[in-house]
Amino acid sequence: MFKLALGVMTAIGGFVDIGNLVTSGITGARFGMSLTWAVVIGTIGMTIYGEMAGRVTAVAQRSVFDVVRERLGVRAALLNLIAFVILAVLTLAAEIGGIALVLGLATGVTYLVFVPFVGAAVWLVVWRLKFSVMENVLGLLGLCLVVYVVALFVLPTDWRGLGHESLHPSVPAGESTSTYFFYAISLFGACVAPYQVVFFSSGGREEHWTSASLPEVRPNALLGFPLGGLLSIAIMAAASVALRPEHVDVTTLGQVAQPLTQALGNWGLAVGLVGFLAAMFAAAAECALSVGYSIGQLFGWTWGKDRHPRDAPRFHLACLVAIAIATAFILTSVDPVQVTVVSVVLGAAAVPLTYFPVLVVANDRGYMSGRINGRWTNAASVGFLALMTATSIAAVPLLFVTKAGQ
Amino acid sequence: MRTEDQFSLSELLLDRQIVDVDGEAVGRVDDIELSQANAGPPVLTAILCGHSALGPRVAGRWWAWLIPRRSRYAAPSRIPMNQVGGVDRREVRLTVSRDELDADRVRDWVRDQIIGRIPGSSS
Repeated sequence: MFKLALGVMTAIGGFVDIGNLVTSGITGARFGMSLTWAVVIGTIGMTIYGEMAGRVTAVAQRSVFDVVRERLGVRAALLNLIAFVILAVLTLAAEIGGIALVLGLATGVTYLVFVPFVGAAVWLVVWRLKFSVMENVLGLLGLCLVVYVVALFVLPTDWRGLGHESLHPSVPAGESTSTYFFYAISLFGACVAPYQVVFFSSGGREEHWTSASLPEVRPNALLGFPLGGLLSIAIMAAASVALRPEHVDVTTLGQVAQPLTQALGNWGLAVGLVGFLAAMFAAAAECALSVGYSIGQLFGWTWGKDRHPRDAPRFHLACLVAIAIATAFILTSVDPVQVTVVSVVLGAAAVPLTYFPVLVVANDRGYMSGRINGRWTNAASVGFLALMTATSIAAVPLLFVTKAGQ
Repeated sequence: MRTEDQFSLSELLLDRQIVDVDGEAVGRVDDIELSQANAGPPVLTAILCGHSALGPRVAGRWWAWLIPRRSRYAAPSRIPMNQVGGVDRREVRLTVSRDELDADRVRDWVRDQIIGRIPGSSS
């Protein structure tokens, strides 16, 4: 029971990363609650995807990129890997930049000073920290973000109005339809992050899941992810209540935290920033590891954090190089918030690449014996595949048309 | 018409994970080796793995241009068929430990020259 609760709680903390913080903050302040549906659909998709990947891992002992290589053939798998790694490094850069921004905010020193130290700290976690310690400590600290829910009760929240706006979505006056859908896609991408699924399924192999672990594994996805989605909606709501009336255009992480100061003063801000740091730090480690996991699985190397680095040298080299490139990229003084927006939109476009092979294998009796998808799971997962395929076609044109949402 | 115990190469072997007798990862089936005597019928004699087996399969002539055939990096790791214990839907199982196979040069180089030199790599 304790293990179950712990798993669900870390899944909530693990769901939220800089993508959710930035997109929920921006959309809450600009569009109110009119994009709630995008978070709901994205969260349902992530839950389906995570549950399937977790089940394939536990039953067939196969992680995402094992399945990609075995189902797509080597050329398509390699292209897939290249796209995944570029996106994971971009997301890693955004998380590292985000952590540095929060440290800058807390100390008043320019964030760039912190970037190399943050990169080094992420690498140390990958290099030394035990898997379960990393997941549990950072996942639980990430729950500090629940302070947004508290803030909503303190702020002059018009619950009925928020509810009405969520259930009757429309493009707000003064915003174009293309910008509206651009941000809808960004919210999908923030919820359905392939690196999280690669991490979830590979982490399952590190923790030696078997079919017997399913009763513990499935609630992580089926409960933890939806609760994480609720947290994203709470952040959106807080931004909508506190920032929208003043027409704040959210371009920094500090503005995302502003509703906390407004509602709860400095202690609210402090608790929120601890939540930011934990969520982004966990995500940074997950991104870095997911680079090593995906490459290791595609080429069939020994991989994993539970091995001494000497025994999995190429896996650790891949993680190290990913962190070095991401850190260097942020040091060029690109804006981490802009990097985040671009990475979640491109991430949404890339979802079908890894989702499709997992869906195929989750229906393959040769891999799954009796544990294949049920009829309803298949209906939902095929529907979601269709939606994400349409999204992926629309994403890149919208990125250019809206100039990344400006 | 094929029977149930007949497979194409990609159905049974290509891209499958290879594990040694202790369950340690060895690599994937990147290519296969066929042997032939006196223009007779070809026989499957070994599984090939590593970048120099995968490279030509993916990049064809570009790869040959990049790494000449005679270079010492051009020889893939060979796993003779008599060291293969069995194949199922998920993996190829060997009857020997991976230490008895051809050394994986790239892995050993990364271990000895980079990762092994960083403090804490073996504890």
